[in-house]
Amino acid sequence: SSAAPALTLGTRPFRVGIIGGGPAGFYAASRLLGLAGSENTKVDLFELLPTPFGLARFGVAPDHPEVKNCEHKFEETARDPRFRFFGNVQVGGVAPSPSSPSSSTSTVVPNLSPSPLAAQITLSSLQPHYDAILLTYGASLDRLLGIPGEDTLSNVFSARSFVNWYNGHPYHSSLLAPLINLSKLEHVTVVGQGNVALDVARILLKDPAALEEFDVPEGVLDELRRSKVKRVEIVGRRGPLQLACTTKEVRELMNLPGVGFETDAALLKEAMVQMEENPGMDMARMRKRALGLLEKGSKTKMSSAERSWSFEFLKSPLELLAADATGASSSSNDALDLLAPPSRVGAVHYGINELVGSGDPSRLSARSTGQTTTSSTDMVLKSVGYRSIGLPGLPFDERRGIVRNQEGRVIDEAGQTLPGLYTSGWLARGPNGVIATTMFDAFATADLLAADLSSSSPSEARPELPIEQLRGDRQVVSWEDWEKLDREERRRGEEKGKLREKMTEVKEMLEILA
Amino acid sequence: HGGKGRPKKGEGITLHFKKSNGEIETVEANEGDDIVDVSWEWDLDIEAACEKSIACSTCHVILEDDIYDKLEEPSDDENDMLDLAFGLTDTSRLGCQVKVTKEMDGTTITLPSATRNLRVDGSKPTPH
Ligand SMILES: Cc1cc2nc3c(=O)[nH]c(=O)nc-3n(C[C@H](O)[C@H](O)[C@H](O)COP(=O)(O)OP(=O)(O)OC[C@H]3O[C@@H](n4cnc5c(N)ncnc54)[C@H](O)[C@@H]3O)c2cc1C
Ligand code: FES
Repeated sequence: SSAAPALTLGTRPFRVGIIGGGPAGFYAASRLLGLAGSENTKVDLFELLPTPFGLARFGVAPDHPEVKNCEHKFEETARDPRFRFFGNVQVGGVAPSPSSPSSSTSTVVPNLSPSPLAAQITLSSLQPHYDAILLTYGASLDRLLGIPGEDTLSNVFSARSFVNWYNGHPYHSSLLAPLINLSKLEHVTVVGQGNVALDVARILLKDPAALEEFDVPEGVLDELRRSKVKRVEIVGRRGPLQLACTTKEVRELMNLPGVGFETDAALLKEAMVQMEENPGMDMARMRKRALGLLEKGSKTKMSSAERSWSFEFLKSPLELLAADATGASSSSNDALDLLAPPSRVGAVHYGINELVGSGDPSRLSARSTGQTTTSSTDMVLKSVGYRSIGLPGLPFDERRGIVRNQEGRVIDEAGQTLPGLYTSGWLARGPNGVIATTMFDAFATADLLAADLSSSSPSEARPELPIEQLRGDRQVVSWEDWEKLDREERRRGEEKGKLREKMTEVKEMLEILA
Repeated sequence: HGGKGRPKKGEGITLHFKKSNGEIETVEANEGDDIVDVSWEWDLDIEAACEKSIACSTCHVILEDDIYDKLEEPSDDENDMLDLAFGLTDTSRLGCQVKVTKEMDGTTITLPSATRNLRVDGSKPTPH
């Protein structure tokens, strides 16, 4: 077969703006700057936080440092003289329409409102300065369960907030820390069975001493050390064959010292039979290996376990119930509700499901049987997915929670391409996929963007962005600034014998740089 | 990344790499280096995002049957990552876990074209 024609940017002086400094933004930048004829291409990347790397820093679990090795490549890209980093810059953050199914205002969401610390720049003020703009600002909201008690009871968090807390995200750390008290609870329910759910469970179940060497903020380590958590239930609305997590994450939980595992053996057996009967199902290889792990169980047997976890299948939460059983969600006196501290969650009321559908058993869906059951709990972590947020003037698919696009080209409701606008990563595809998925997506989008640019008719060179005028009195963080923060974090970490001690306040970061 | 150096011309093990755009690049490798080392040395564009820690699957390569069969079975950790690789085949391995041997002389190693898979068949490659 003949080789595909090599893509070239034809040495034209293109300017590309990238919004969002996670893996999608950095991989796209590295691809663009690696293309033939990119000598005169310039890439400016805008990031909400003073710190780069997005979910590689604030999502990926602290005990997975090897996953974060992708940051080395991003650092290489950032040191390229054709690349500029503009940190602490929020592009067009506004409130979503009240009707959109996003997080309640009680949770902290970076993009729900303009940050009081970050420079504010609108998309439209960027556009005249760039031949193309690539949106890679990820997913900063949660999907909701949409059930009573979700917003009114305390000790109910989204897994996203919880992950941001243990990873030291500056928009969450100080706000969440006072709300999380692990010394007062034994039993945690995680709703959802994806990798994020398993990460959260592992952090709660693992011996905190085994986390000390990484970059968990000291305050978080202290909280984990006084944790009384003994039991984590990971609940899904479907069965073992429809599990959304990967084998690696299951294996890690199974291998945790002193931690036992249990699940419904009959359901598991049923799933094994279905699997044998349908060898051609979607991702059969992975599912087979995952079921094998579940069947083998944990290294530590339940009888000798100090802590334990379980997979609960075929359950959909219908309501979160208050611990004091008076039912905060059914209280009629709003004025009193405002004064009294919110009641703590004490139980989850579940609907019991059955699987329906035909064909590929991994694609069966859940249907309520009409039966219900109630299980007690001390804390609920909702891990049913992230979602993105739109920007004013940008076509947004509210249902899927992504920017409307076709293969990365932003399109409007009628399917028309909006020239010069692209999107990639979780913002374009939805909040799933590992860094490798995001990387391939970013490469493909960068190639498409470059192909469009190089086939465009030559136009006048774009004027450089006047960042000094646009930033107002806010501080913009350069790559050199970030390197200074990075060195400081590592220095503080070294003192404590860990990888780094993250700074968890934007204010502190800016003060160090001032 | 630099590589581990190249063998003297004519003294190394000859490997043909079939790149994702169809191009074939022929290189000489040192015995004992792994496939990611070879890629770093010759700029073959294997991403190796986790830098050989068995944590990313971006070093996925496809081997010829007879070479695959001669290798030791992949470890559980490697299999966990292969689960997530694009365009997995029966002779897929993680390049960072495969060491070059004399028996590989003249073999062709295929770098899967993940981008095309992602776009063309529209399959959801990994769960969330
Ligand atoms: C909890 C968790 C654990 C994970 N663990 C793993 C793992 O172990 N291995 C793995 O391979 N993958 C893992 N992933 C997946 C991986 O993190 C994603 O595939 C990847 O980070 C997506 O990249 P992205 O660039 O699309 O989005 P993000 O990483 O979210 O980056 C978006 C960036 O945009 C910035 N931003 C947001 N709003 C604005 C704005 N208005 N203006 C400017 N900038 C803005 C954000 O601050 C952020 O830096 C995990 C994900 C999560 C959530
Ligand atoms: S380099 Fe990441 S798995 Fe081989």
